[in-house]
Amino acid sequence: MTTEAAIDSGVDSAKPSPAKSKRAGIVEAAVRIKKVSKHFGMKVAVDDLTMYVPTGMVYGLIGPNGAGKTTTFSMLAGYLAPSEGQVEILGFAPTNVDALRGKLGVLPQDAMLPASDTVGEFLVHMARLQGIPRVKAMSKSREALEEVEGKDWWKVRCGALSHGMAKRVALAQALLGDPEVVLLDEPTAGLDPRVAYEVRQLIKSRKGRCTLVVSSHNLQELEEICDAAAILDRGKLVASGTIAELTSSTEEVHFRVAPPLTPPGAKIPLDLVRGIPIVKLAEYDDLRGELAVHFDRDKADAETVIESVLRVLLDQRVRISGVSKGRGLEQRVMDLT
Amino acid sequence: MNPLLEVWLIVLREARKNLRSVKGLVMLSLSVLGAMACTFRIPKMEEGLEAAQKIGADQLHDAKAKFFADMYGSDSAGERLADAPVKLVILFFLAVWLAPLLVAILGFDGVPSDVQYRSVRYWTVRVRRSSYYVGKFVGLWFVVSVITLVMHSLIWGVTIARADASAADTLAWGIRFYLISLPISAAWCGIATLVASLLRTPILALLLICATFFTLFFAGGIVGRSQHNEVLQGIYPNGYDAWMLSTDLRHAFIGLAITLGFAVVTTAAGAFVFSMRDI
Repeated sequence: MTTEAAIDSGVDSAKPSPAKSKRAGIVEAAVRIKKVSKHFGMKVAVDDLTMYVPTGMVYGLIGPNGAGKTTTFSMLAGYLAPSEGQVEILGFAPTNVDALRGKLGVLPQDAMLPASDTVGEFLVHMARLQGIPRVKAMSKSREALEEVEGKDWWKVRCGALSHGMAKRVALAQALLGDPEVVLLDEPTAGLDPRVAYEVRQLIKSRKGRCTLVVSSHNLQELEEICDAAAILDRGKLVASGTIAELTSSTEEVHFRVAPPLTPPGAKIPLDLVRGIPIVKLAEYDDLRGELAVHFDRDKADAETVIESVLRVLLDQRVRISGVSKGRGLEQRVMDLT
Repeated sequence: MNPLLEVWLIVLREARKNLRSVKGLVMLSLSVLGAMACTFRIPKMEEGLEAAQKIGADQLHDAKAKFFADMYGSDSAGERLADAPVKLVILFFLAVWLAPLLVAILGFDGVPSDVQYRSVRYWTVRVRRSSYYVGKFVGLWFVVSVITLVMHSLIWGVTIARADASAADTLAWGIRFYLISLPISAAWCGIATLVASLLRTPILALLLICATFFTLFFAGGIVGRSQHNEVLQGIYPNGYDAWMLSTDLRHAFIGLAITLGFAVVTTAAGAFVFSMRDI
């Protein structure tokens, strides 16, 4: 199964179900959501959502407020039961904690740590509950705490931690015992830039070791750390795919033009750009000062297109202040939601 | 993982959390102070009773039997309690009477505060929700039992030290009273945990627990008893102390079964509802 197929929003009935794969000893989709809806009274928070996340990916859940990503996340973590449809983590319902013990780690967004426990007590208790033997629970907990740069907090009461420290302790409990699937809800929300950077590095360092599902408002962050993402709006899936697909980075490049054009009154040489054989379409946005060039990814890669178009623009003395592949996740989300 | 191990780990944490919390320490201190007050007040009551009525030991025994029979609504329980050191009987009565208060104060925020602040989400990905719930119930019962035991032990010590009763009598009666208080407090813990778990706000949970306990007391302990309505009396867990004090073993066993039944049914219902709900 290719990555592109695996992250497609549709579910092909011909594909082996996780249950079948499990019997064969392989679980292709670490996370599977099939025709899931969630109603809160008359309000439909998630509507007939189908998606699945292949094993080993860092997958983003994206959407504006009210898009349904927190509800989706909560159903993945087993906090909420779907009104309709089926949610599976590694082939099991999220509420089947015995089957998923030690294999699923979750960082909930707004869950407070128990104020009366020390960080050490909390982590050791969590480690014991996920099946780590007593003799190893302490060392595993210390390792997890060290990973989030919090080794000095062992004896600090959770109630005395700052927001950023508490977030990192919560992250440590999610990563305890190297779970196969880790769900992270707004992992860097409220963190200062340095700590947020460290958390992103930590998530990146987990790539390939586990499957990560990250729900976040921070689109630049998701673009940086995710391999693929699903964009939700009003409870529905509006797009999904690899980050490259979502941002069209393999079929679109953007050139930011530095004003003023030289000589004054000159125009962007659109005809010359359109005349490049590998260019399918070229458009200039006056307001943004941006030239968008579309190309056929089967005929050329983005770098070749950049080289060809830059050559034309520079020959025409157009000053370029930046070049980017694709539209950026943020722009894509703005277009879709 | 064995669900019993899950429950055990939750219980250990609950015990640690409650017994070192301000609330737990205050309740423990109040219980000990109450027991000490009883220790010094009851001998004076006994002496006063004996002196005022100018009666001997046999007549005092009969007076006690009648008094306790009226108190518990059971001649059998009265006759039995007349042989026990009065101090221990009064302590037992107080411990049972105050158990709902102790349970309400210690147990109102067990589940609701975890749900309100969503801390429960750290647990539900690791343990069965039913184990979490049962752990909360057993943890509360355990803490209430420990505090009650401290209170009882203090009285035992004082009773023996003052030679108000022999050590054998004190321990035999004291342990018996303590053991009888356990299923009754289990019933209250079961009800409190069930009621609290239905709410997300601890203070509302406390109010609803108190309202529920008062309703049970009023319906069972006041209306039921005054109207000799057995069904109404049956819904009040404290009413089963007389059953378990009875010399009739069958009667005692039924009292034990019903109080434990309260605990089992409320805990099973609470665990079921908690497993089904969104958190």
